[in-house]
Amino acid sequence: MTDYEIREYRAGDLPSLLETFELCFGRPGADRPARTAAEWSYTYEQNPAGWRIWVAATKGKVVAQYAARPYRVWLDGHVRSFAEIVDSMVHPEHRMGLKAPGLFVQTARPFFDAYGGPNHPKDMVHYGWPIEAAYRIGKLFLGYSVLRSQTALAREPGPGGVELPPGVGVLERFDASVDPLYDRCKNGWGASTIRDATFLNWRFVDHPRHDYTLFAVRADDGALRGYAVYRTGAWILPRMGLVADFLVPNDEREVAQALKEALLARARTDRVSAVGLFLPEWSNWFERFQDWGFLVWPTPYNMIVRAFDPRHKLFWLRDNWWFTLADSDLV
Amino acid sequence: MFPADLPTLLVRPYEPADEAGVLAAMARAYGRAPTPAEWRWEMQGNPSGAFAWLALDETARVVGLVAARGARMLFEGEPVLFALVVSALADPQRRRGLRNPGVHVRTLQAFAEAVGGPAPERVPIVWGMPVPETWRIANKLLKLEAVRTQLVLSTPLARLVLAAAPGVEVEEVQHFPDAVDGLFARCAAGRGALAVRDRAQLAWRFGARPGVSYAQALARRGTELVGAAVFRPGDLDGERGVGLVCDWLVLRDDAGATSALLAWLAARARDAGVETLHAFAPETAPEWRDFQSSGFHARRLRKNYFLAARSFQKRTSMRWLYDNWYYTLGDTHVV
Repeated sequence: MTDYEIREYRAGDLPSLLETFELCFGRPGADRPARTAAEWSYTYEQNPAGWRIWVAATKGKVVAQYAARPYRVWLDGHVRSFAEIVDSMVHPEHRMGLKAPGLFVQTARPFFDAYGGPNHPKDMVHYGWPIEAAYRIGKLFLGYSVLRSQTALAREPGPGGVELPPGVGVLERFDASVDPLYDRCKNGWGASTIRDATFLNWRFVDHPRHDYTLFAVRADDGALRGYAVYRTGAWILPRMGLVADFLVPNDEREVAQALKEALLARARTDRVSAVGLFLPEWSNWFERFQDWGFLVWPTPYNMIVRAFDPRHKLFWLRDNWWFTLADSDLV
Repeated sequence: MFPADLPTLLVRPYEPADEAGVLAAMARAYGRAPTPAEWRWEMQGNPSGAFAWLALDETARVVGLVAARGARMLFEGEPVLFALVVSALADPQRRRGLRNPGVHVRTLQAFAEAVGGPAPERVPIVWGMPVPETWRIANKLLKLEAVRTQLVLSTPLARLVLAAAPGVEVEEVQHFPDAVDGLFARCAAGRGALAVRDRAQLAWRFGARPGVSYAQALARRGTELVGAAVFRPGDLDGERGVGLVCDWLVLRDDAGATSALLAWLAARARDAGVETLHAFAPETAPEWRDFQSSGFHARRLRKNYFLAARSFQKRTSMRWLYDNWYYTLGDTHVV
């Protein structure tokens, strides 16, 4: 039986890690594309909140990875860390490399021990939207719990204009004006990834693969009143208009209306099949988007969590955690 | 052997002679209990059967109970039974923690071992809608897993969008006729799994329940039955005085039947003095889309969070159930 060294990622692992990534994901039908070195660097090294990577290596080569993207989260007046599990993989020739429960689980277990915990800087929550096979293993061996069967709000663009509505502009980058906007929103939420310029520019503007459009509404004095982030892509349907993030205070309904019209106008220009987004069901926006003709649809995903703080477990997270597609690597 | 502090715990199937003891145990555990008539309706009247296991202490007092409602299903076209857990209690004085379980675990394990198993000999799917307070027990001890986080479809009557329904007549009935069997057979075509809605089952579920009245209607196009619906006013998920779409069986893509029955439901709701309609449908079913297109919005439930199940046959995963199982409020014990 092969001997494996199961440990945290370290310098020098990247070439063989990318080779394994290519073997696992660089094939037709894979649930995600393989990563270039630039994309890997973006995902992990450039993430302003850091990286979480545990690997299994043998004969000097990485043959399994269990990894996550951490995000800084505002919760109960404190900065915490939640981490989204991504890119977990085992080299095809090593999937039977250990007796049950296998290399995937044996790489993941120390990951949780190393990074999960109730107190900052450990991750209070690990979460993700795993494919079915990974979910089944995670449920059996890694403490995955279903937080929700994930739905998406979606609608066809429908007839209408293709010009941006008055008051909506397009940003090149986010700046400090997003801070007071996020401050206005966060107090209505129990937990949310901190949407500051550092996070948002990393998540959208500096993304090496995708081009996002940042729609924004500003007040006369330049204050940011709301934004929505958009790109096109094949996701659940071919050529969708994807609303990757949406941040508008609850009482700024006309701002949200203008951003919604901007999204639909752009979607018409792009001739997309549908415009879709994630929103938590407890949010007023979940209801308002339905008022605007969005229907709630099933997706192939369960949103799963492993929560480490007994005060903020499954049901609390369901009812208090603001998230959008920005909190995922799905789009 | 029995743990030291459970010297004479006896776990066995329920018998009708246990009725008084069970009702007393429910009153102790929940602070209320069904009436004898309600309990007999649940345990003895269901044409699909019922399942219950008890734990009795050394004085023959009922200290544990698992009760489940049977449902004859069409499962990939074959007849099987599902079991909906309607009660799982342990006497408050005999409850222990999950790390050191006593009455709960022994009753639930006995129930699962006796009832659960691959079809057709056993019950392949045991399911329930645990509230947050019971989720840990359901998950850890009965090994229920989430099929979905259940959403409710709801609409104020004023938001309903009713298309024309040319040629469709709705008739309110006291009892569904034999012809409803044929409607069910046509509606079942192409479904992965759904509970049998034949005359006998519907008569028990909506016609014979003590203390609760349901309004029932059929939709016809000419002489052809094209749909059926059941309504009552009531409470759901802590919201009082709402209109409940208790059952819904309509031929696929029959917009006329959908619209005509929704109009009947709205009229019934107005008569009852309620201003909203609430329905369950899986978001993977065509009905989910149809209700939304008619003005219903999806909302979270505050209490009945998971629709959860345990599969006793390897080929049936929670994802398969999520994708293929059609049910309504009437399949649950909520209405």
